[in-house]
Amino acid sequence: MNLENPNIVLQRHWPVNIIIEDVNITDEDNQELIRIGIEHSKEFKHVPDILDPNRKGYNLLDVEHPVIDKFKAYIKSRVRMMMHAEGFIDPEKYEIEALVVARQHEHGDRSKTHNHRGCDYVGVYYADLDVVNEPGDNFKQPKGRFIFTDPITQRSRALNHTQNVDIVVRPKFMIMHPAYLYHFSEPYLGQKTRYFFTIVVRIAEPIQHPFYKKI
Amino acid sequence: MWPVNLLIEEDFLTDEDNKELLKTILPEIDKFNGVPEIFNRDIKIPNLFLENKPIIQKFKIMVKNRLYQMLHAEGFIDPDSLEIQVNAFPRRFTKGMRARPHTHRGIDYTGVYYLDLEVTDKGQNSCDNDDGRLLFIDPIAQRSRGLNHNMLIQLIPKPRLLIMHPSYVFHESEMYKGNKDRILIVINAKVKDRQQADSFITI
Repeated sequence: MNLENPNIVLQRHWPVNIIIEDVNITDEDNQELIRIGIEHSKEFKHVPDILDPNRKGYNLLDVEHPVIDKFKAYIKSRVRMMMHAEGFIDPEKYEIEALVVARQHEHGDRSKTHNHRGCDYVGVYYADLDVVNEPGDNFKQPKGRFIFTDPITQRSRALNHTQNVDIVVRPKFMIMHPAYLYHFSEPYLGQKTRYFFTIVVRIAEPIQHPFYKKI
Repeated sequence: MWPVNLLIEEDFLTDEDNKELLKTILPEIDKFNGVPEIFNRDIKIPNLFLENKPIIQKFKIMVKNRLYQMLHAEGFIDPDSLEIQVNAFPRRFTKGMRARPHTHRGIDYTGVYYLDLEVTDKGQNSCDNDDGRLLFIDPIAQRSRGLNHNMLIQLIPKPRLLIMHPSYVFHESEMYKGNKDRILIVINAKVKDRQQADSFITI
């Protein structure tokens, strides 16, 4: 914004930072990641507590495999990048805890609007899918996109065009954002299975985090 | 403190009145069609309540009554003395259509009345599918993960159902899966505050 009057300062606080990246991963590593994801996720259901209070979780990062090690290092580097962008004081002093699960969407599957409570950052890595980017807007008809919702409900009505932010997803593509941000996936319109990985991150701050105890 | 009040009323109109309202609205429903400003800056959406037809005026009076009930529930000071301004317009959803998450900015309360639709929802909990529901999104993003089951309030639209809520609550309609058109009326309401509402000027 060009402000001609030097006495005016436009302060812009509390931005929502979103990392979007075409990931530099080889086809071989990407395919291996998909294979590991399928193999280690098949015995776990991915449904909310309300549908199955007894379901068990898992962490793909527990798998000992060179591709998982690379993926872990990649996630760590992007979380650090996010922390710098967010304005953490000395981001390197914080430990990063992460959990990754492998997911699959078939034609028509979607994710309802949600955020990721109890953690700090969330990423999704799309390993493979049919890219569907039909022309035209998706105001009334879904087009298989990933959509963020403005965390601030009260703005001018004339800013309605920014109430949702759309992203067309593609293979080897990563999105990382704060966990508080509501988001959803429109029904997937591709034919081949969409393989993706959900990355959930907690920032372990050094002052209180080590001292929590079970009560 | 600070609960979010949702007013939900089944059989809001009698079956007879509902049919009459539907019959009155349908021939001219397209004149109320609107799209967001980003797609068309020139569209003006008329107010259904300006139509001087008995069934529309009857509907207006009933909506007014429910709006005042909402003001009482919300805790307004002497709500019956406050003036409410309303804009209402019908909408048609065909199979496959939805509404993305949105609020109704610049106003106070929003309602939707479903005149006609095909109920396809089986009422079961679902995670990965669209069920044609109206979803309300918790306005407080940060709660315990153990409360995830309350993150969305999921309502199943059916004919003659009225829903009224504060305009600040994000909500969305999942893809409609019925074969017959879903006809509804959107109600937007502003409560005129006593101290400032009449003092604004255009600058």
